[in-house]
Amino acid sequence: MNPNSTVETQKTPSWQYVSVASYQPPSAPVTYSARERYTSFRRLFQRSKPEQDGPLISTDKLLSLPLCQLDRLAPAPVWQRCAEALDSELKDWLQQEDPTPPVIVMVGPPHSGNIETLEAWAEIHAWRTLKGPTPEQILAGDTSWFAAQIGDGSPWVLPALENLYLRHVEGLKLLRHFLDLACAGQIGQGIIGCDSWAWAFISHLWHGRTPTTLTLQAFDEPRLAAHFQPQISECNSSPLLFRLSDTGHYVLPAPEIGEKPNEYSKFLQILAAHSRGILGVAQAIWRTSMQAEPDEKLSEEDENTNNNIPHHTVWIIPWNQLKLPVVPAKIGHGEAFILHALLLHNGLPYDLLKLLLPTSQGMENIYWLEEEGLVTQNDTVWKVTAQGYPAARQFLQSNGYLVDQF
Amino acid sequence: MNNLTENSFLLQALADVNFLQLGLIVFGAWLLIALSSRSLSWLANRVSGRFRFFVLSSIPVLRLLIIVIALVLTITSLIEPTMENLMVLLGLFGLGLGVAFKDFASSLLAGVVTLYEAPYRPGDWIEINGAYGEVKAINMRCVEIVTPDDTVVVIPHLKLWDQLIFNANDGSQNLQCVADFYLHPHHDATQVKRLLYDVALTSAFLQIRKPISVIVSEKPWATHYRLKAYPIEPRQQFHFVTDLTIRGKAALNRVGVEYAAIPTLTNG
Repeated sequence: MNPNSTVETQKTPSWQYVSVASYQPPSAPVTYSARERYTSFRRLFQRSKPEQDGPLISTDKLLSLPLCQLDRLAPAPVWQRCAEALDSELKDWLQQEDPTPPVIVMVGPPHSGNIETLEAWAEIHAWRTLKGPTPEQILAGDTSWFAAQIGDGSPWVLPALENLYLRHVEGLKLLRHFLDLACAGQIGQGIIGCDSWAWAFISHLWHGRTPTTLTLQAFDEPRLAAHFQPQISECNSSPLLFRLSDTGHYVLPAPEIGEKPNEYSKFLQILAAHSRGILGVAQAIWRTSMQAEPDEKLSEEDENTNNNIPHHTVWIIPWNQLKLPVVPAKIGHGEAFILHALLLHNGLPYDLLKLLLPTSQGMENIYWLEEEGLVTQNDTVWKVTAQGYPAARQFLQSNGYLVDQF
Repeated sequence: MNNLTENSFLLQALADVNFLQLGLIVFGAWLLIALSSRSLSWLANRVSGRFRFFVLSSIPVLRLLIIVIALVLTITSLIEPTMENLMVLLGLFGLGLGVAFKDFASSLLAGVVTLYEAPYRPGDWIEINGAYGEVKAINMRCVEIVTPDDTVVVIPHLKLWDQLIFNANDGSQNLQCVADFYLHPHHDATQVKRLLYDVALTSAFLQIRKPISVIVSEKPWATHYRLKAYPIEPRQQFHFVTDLTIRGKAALNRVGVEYAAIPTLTNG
């Protein structure tokens, strides 16, 4: 982070839709890349669970923020704003009487809020939202699902194309049929949302004419700063300072308090690169990194003063002391299959996951992955966690599995 | 008188030999080879992909390097390394090997050639003389492979001169697997071909960036389908073929395709 970022932030919009080919994942500082490689090399020689380095600042002085504070400082993104950005990108296409192409595909990596955005967009424009078929309908290749969904031929939004297939020999027919019809314009004007992993797989199983694909531009350092900053100013009258707990360097732009100019850390740049520009991943790590001193209430009544400027300080755990999930070196193919299946389907219930894995594989590994913080169960659906996603992706990529292009 | 003088020179030379130093060189070389082999093998099991092949293939090269250095150190500590002495030593060594250990010498020489030509490397899946398995070690005289039944087969390098060597992955991750299906001729071949393609496409073991192909040929007693695809890791080949076969059979059963059966011959 540097002071120029504020200027840069004003130039680039936070939410911006671009073609998939124009997606630019944020780059990491060289020192971070070197450290990451060294860490992964060192992990090869660790027999047991890797030990984390102790924080430089005494940890007993800092406490994690309670959930309500976290929700106030880093609330869930307002997807309507993202939908508005999508609106401006689709303006010309929406005005066409006979839209060409008939469908547009919105591809988004996991935890990028693709589904939420499309649902918000459909609500704003009063377009029909298509519900996915049941697993039984997918496996039966039941095309009657279309009849119930197509209805009067009015414009539609399908937020999650990944819900139309299963990586099973009988789980592909419905998806192929749907894409054939949709891309030929036979079910009218529509927007299809698709998870990036599922899209990578679909490109191998469906060989029709590739539709226009758009994606949300990656959240790089300036975008992340812009995204985190306004949310803070909204919830506090006095400025909130975000500083690293070891060096005291600022993480987000802050007013000059003393005579010396503020020194900024590279935390946000590393965060953007590590999260691959995915907002949900960055946000989850950002929430984990925030700590405060026990007497720091972060409320309007209780304020610190320094040079007569009242402020609160949120201490950010330095990057090398953050406890993020890692994929242990001893992980086998059984665990890799689970991670891959979950990512290709953007989450699966236990029974379906079992159905899609090789017949010889047991399911006990999923609990081990859960202990490592790589997967989690939400209701009945198992998903790769936002914090564990970068490690899981890196692991699958280095082992030759199909990964998304983001 | 001259013979007496030469003998006394030899005795003098032997007396000058530092056996402790020789022992240390031999022990040091052995220790280095053992350590490097074990540590690199261990490392190869912890990394994956092309790094695994790189680490594995460096083991025999490193061993050869250590042996050559140890030999040079030994010779220079035994005799004065003049051109005449070296020529005599090499001549004696060659003669001895040529007469007594012809095959042994041939294997040694072939071992050096394997390091240069690399017809197989550690981690490759090879077949020589009907023995199929993964190359575990390339020694100076022989190659050790481990068969799918966990049996170690030691094959001298001299087979390189006159035997066919089949290398399934040739130093890469890409090893094609084939699952065979023999079906009753009365069926829709296009449907079955498409179905088998999807069987491979939906396998968790599949290396999806490599092509999938289904080859169909008609036999007098069945239609033969060969489903060809690549697993993510060569080591998964048998699990992959098993997975293709199990799921392929289940899918074919569901669409009612019958398997070929050899007709029973009855007397009369």
